[in-house]
Amino acid sequence: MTRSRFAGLPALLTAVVVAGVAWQIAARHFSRGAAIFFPPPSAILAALGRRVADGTLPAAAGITAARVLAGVALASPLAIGLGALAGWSVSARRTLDPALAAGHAIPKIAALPLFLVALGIGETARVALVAVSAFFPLAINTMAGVAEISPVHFEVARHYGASRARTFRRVVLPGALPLILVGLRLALTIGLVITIALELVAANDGLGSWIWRAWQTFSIDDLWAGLVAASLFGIAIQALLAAASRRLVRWRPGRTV
Amino acid sequence: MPVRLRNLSHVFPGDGEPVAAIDDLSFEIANGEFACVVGPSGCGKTTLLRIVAGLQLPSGGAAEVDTTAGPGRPPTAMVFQDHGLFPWMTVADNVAFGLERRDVPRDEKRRIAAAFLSRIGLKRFLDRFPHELSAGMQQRVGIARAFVSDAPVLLMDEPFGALDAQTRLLLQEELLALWTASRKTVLFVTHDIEEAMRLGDRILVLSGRPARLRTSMTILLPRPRGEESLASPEALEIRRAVWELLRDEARRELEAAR
Repeated sequence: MTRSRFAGLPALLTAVVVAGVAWQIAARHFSRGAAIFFPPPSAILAALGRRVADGTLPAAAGITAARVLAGVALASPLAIGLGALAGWSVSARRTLDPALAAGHAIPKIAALPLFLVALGIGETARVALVAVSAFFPLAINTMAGVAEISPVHFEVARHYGASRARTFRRVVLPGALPLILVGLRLALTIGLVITIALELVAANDGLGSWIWRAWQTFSIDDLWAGLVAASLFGIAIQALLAAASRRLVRWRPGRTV
Repeated sequence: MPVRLRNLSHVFPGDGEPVAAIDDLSFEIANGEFACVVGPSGCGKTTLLRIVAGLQLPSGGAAEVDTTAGPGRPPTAMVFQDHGLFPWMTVADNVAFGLERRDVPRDEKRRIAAAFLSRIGLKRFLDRFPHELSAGMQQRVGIARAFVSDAPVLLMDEPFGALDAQTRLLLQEELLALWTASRKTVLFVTHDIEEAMRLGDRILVLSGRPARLRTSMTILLPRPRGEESLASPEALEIRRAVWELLRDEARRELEAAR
């Protein structure tokens, strides 16, 4: 398992280094205008190092992370509960599946003004918007995960006299867990995107606000450092969920997340 | 009588035409009897077991199962064709699931499961997951779950159908030993005459779809049935009679399919 877990790493690092070197070389031939907005990787890395050292970037990232985690934590029980219900019961799915599809299609960030009006300009509205955005991918994946469980397992549970509550705990949840973890990965990533987006306009702290301020003060290197920080977030989310999957889904050969 | 079928019929509604799976089937199984049901493939044997197990309501007649087993014991325990183990539970938890109706703490269930598994030599595999076991081992765990439930009636749906010949022989022997020690009533579905001859007190031959009872033959061969008694003139006579009935049915199925 250890071998396969890191087997992709050399190829990934090679690709990153090759692309970085190519960009670095090409940057010398950029026009003056382009060079300002597309600084060479060396300048971005230097800015990243500077802003990590002075503590401003980690502080902003920490605030963003807290909003993402709060939103996803808030959404998870309902998303997993309703998703499981929709996956388990065909009649519930008939109602919930179109509702989930409709809700998922709405660009949540566009509803930000409504959230601010309804909940006031503050942390409640921000976290609520993140929660609503994280809800749909998690609910839909949970539904798919439960629907994928072989009917035999439900028959066995019924045959040996398991109650509905026991069937939920011992069949529905563990059986759907691989896809619930995929749903969590998507929920966290979408939560991050939405958090940064709303921080651009409706917060004066966090990574989005940090990026927006860098833009307004024309600190383009800092702006890029903020974008790199966001992508590192993505890697952290993936690593977290892959670790959870390895611990919790030992029963399945291969991996989903 | 632990199991009694009375004029049992079943019709699947289907998309276009309804499909008759079972037609007016009546028989009884005595307490402690090992009854083997043979019939051409696709004749509704699995449907029959599912009805007896209470997983499917029949469209006509009744399958009566003695439900006076007492609290905490299911009336029947089914061994599924492809073992039906939960892939996310360890071997111990899968077997302990047979005790789902019993009102005892989880640790006690695990202890009972572990005791049974060590009895059949599977103690080392307690904490393994089903995908780590061979097909034969998986089915032994499925059988262990059914025995641990302590249901008086075992329903077995071609449990050894997917196994290689040697493994099948070993598991048949193991099943006979467990049955001899527990004297449960067994309804065992198979399409393999040889298997029915080795295991059964009685062979019930079903027709092709819809399944009707063609004949019921008591096998009086002494147990344990070695190769010698399975090659005796009496055994050959039963085998020939069963095969003749089955061949007719199988041929009719083939022609109907053309």
